[in-house]
This record gives sequence, structure tokens and C-alpha cells, in this order.
Amino acid sequence: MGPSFLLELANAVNAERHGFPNAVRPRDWQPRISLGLEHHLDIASDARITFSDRISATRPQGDAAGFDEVFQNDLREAYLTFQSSGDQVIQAGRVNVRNGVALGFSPTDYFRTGSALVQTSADPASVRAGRLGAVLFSYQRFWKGGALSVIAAPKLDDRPSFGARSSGLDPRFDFTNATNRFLVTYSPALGPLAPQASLLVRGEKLELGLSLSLPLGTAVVTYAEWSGGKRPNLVAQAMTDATAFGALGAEAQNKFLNDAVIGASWSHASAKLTINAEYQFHQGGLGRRAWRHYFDLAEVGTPSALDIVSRIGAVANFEQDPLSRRQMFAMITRQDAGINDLTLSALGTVNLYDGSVGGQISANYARSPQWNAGLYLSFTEGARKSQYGGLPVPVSAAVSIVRYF
Amino acid sequence: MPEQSIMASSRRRLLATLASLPLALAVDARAQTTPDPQAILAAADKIRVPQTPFRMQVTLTDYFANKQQGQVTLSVLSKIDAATREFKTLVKYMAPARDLGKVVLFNGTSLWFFDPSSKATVRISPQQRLIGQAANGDIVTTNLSVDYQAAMSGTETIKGADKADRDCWHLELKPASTAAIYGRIELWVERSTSRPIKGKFYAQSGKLLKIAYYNKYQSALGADRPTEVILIDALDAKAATIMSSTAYATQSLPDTWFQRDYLSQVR
Repeated sequence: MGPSFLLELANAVNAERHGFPNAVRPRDWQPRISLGLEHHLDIASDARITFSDRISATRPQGDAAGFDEVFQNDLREAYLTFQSSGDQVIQAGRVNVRNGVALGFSPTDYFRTGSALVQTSADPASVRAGRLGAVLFSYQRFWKGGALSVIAAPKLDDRPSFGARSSGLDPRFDFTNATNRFLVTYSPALGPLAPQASLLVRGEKLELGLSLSLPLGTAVVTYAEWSGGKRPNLVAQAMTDATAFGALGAEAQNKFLNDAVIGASWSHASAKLTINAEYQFHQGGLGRRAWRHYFDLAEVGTPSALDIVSRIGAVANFEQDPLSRRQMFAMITRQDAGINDLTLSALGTVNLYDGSVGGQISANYARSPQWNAGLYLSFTEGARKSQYGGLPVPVSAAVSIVRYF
Repeated sequence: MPEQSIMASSRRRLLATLASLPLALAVDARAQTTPDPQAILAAADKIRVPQTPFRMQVTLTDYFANKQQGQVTLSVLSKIDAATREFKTLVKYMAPARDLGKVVLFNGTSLWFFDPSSKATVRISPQQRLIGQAANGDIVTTNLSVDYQAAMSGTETIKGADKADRDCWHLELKPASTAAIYGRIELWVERSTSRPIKGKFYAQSGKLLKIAYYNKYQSALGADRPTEVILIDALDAKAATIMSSTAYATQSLPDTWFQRDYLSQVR
């Protein structure tokens, strides 16, 4: 089969929340045109090359409009697969590896760091779709009783500095391969629970992980995921100058931290409805006291204070971790919602400390196999001193038109 | 009692016994000619799906008010688990382009979905929809005789999808395992050929969900099989999905393929 292409035209319009004169907010409108390519080439009966790339043109942030300011190439995957027999697979190159069973936040999805690309939809599946892979070597062994996977991902560059932006043809190995990582995953066939156990060595630190899932009847699937290890929390990762961080700096920790998710999905066949709900716990995120110090710092309003506030958000975004220690995520999707081929979705994340909500409502119309049109309305709601209410953009709208070839 | 009366009484009892004998024999004969409903269901399973490891192409075409709405082409790989007699099935999307490479796995105990764009393997329920009226549980191959207990409702002449009259066994199926996705099924199986002709599928609540017609029987892998299944929405008869099966072929399918971690390698 030949390569597949997609062409996406997207534009986002952002409103402004008043009372944030110093806040850094996205530009009021952000057009983007992207061309994606994916190809699997069988070079032998037991070998295949996979290539996935996307090049986008966006409105420059500043006045400069050179190639690097306008274009960004995302080399998502480029790897060789060698399958010597039906039960052993070797892969080498840039590979998007995705572990875990949860939808919104997946603690055992260890290669999510630095992988996020600009996407129109906030649907977690879309966020992970076409993300940057990590350069790695992978060996998988399958047998009737389960599967074992061993992955080695070397450090290729130092982690990018805060605020660094990529552009042009930069492959961003500093984003995806800034640390040596070694991951072993074991998935035994143990009946309906389908466990998956993980052992990650990241630099010199060890993490353990476990995921389970269990269907209940024909309509419900439940799941749980956990990861734990000694690592710096969000504040510790973001902190450069303890003095500047003030009281928030005292929240920095480097100890055994846990991440956990418990969730379920429910489907109704004749209504073509699926509802997902998750409780997400990220011990390295901001707890109640840390949030208080965070907003105290934001209230200071000086450039250095706002820089710290931005840095914490940037670290969470880079790590693909929740900002808050506790939150709830929910998503509802209805196919053929009143009109055939129209899918309506609504998703939201609630900060359980301040009750603020960030979410997105979307409508996707797939009238033909080649075309898809999407309308997305993102919103943030909450008190001024809350995670989502404190963001400078209360509402943004985006439209996306995709053509598949 | 006088001796003649005793003899008369005995003769009457003998005559009554002799008179009832043909009826008794007829009842016995009927009991012997009415086959076991579970055996009828098993025979229908063997007609519906090959019992040896196989591959086929399935095209799902969605219609509303007789107008085509959408179409998905799938490659289906399936084999029976020798221990459980359940089918293990791999379904790979071949078309349209937006769905290319997606894979659904049913390995007897669970249903998994792999999305090649996000590389996510998620567990899904049989009730989640693929397209149109076909839920995941309709696409994966199943042995109804393993998942359901059959009881005989009687015989009935019904019209098949081709409008021809079919003399059928009318079976009532109730779930016999946790793998059963429907609360109840009515199945009409042609008496002379064991071909399934029509099915009605009910939710756990008892609500009728869909009606299926098995149609276009053609020779494939050693038997005449229904190469077309018409699924009609019981709530809105204008909505229908046609499942067309083609390109049957035997295929060696290692057990190692039927697990969640292998889905990204399915070709």
C-alpha cells in the first residue's frame, strides 16, 4: 500500500480575559496549514521501514518571517522493523512508544516527555496522535502466555532551556532524548485483568509501573494505572533560584512520588454514546498549599514572578503531566448525533482544589472518506485565583478541515 | 365381580392400550426426529463461519433511507481457541484512509482497540460502535453455540432476504457465558440446510436492538456460507448496515498474534 497523506487547514481565534495585563497569551488568531505523510515500506518479507512526518506553516510570532519562523517540520517517526519470526520483533529509530490504558493522563506512558505537537483537538487520543517519537532500540518477544518488551533510548542532547521554541527542520532530539532511559515491560496473559508491569530506569532513577483493566458486562470497562519512583516534583523541576520562588520554593521535593489513575468507560450501543471518567493523582503536581503560593507569586506581577509562574506551566506541559495534584477528567462522545457522520464530543478537566474547569466541545463531520471538518470550542472557567480561571484566554474557537489522500 | 365382567374390563383396558399405542409411538417418533436445539445452533455456526483458521475481507456499508452513508473495509483473521471453543479475532481497517491501520482484537476474554496514529491500545466494550449498526461484537467472529444456550420455540416458515420462503427451526437463545453481548437472540435456521436465515438481537433489558438477515450464500472454505448479513436498526428501520464477506482463505494464525502487545505489528 502506498503512502497516505493528509492536509489540514486550521485556524484558532482567542478571546482575552480581562484583568491580566501582564499575562502572556496566545495571539488573537493563529492559522496553520499542515501536510502529513505516513508510509510503511516492506523492504523484505521480514523488514519494514516506517516514516511519519508533518510540516506546518503558521503565522510568525514576531515580525521576522524567514523559513524557521514560518515553517516547522515534525519528524514524528522514522524506524526500521525487523521481525525474524512471528514471536520476535526488533525496532530501531525514532518510534512513538505508547504504554498505559488510561485516557486523559497515563502514568506509565513513559515516553510522553517532550513529545507534544500542536493539535487542534484536545481529545487525548488526538494529542497523542502523531506526537514525536523518541530515538530508541526496542526488542519485543511474544509467547502464548504474554509479551516482554525491552527498550533503550539514549541521551542525544541536553534538555532545552525554558521557553525554547523549535522551528524549521530541527528534529528536536533535545525534547525527546534528553535523558538515558531503559524500559522493561511485561504483559502476562492472566485472564480478564490484563496486567502490564513496567520498570523504567531514567538517568540514575528507578520507577515502577502497573496497569490493570477489567470489563464489567458488555458496556463498561474499568481501569487503573500507577507509577512510582524517586524524582523531583514540578516545583523542583521548574526552580532555578530558590530565593525568587519564595514560599513556593519550599514546596520543592525530590523523593518517592506516586502517580495514579482510576477510570471507567461506559458505552450505549443504540445511542452510540461513550462516556469516560477518570480520577487523576499526580503527587508531583501542585497541592492546595502550593497553589496558594503559586497565586501569591502571580499576584506579585513582576516579570520575574510571572516568569516563574510561566516556567511551572511550561515544565508541566513539557513533561505532559497534570499541573495539579488531584483532578478529574471526563469525556462524552456521541456518534451520528442527529446527523449521520456527525460526532459530538465534550471533555473537561476539573481541578479538585479550586473547582476550576478547562474543557473543549467539538463537532466533527466526516461526510466522505476523504474529508473531515471539525469545529472546536475551548473554554476555561473558574475564580480568578484558580488554575483555569487564572488563564488569560477564557474562550477560543478553532476550525479544522482535513483532506485524506 | 362376575368373571365376564373381569374379562370385559381386561379387554377394555387392552383395547385402550392398543388404541393409544400408535399415539405413543408417534410421540416417541416425534421426540426422536426433533433435533437438539444446541446441535442445530452448532450446525448453523459451522455454516456461518469456517471452523479452521481463516482470513476474509469484510466490507461494512452503512445506509439510511436506502442511501449509502459510509463504508469501511476490514481484514478479518480468526481462529478457534482449542480450550474454550471461542473464536479469537483480529480485525484490521483497510479503508477509508482516515481509519487505515486501526486494529480490533477479541481474544475470548477481552476486546482491544489499537490506533496507529496515537499508538494507543485501549480496552473497549462490545457495545462500542464501529460503523452504523455493527457494534464491535458483531464484527468479531463468534460461536453462538458456546456463548448461548438454545431452546426450541418451534418451526416456522419465514421469508429470507431474497423473499423466498424458508422452512426453519425457530430457536430462542439465552446467554450462557459472560462473552455473550446480547441479552437474548431469536434465530431462524433452515431445517433442510442448517443455514441461518434471520436473527433478532435483544439488549439485556429485553429491548429489540437489531434484526439480521443472512443472505447470498456462496461456497467458501468447504461450505456454502452467508456472504452478506443485513443488519437493520430495530428503532429506525431506515438505518441499516450490510456486512459483505469476500476473499475467504485459510491462514496459519499463531496464538502469539492474539494479544494486546502484538497489535502494532499486525499487517
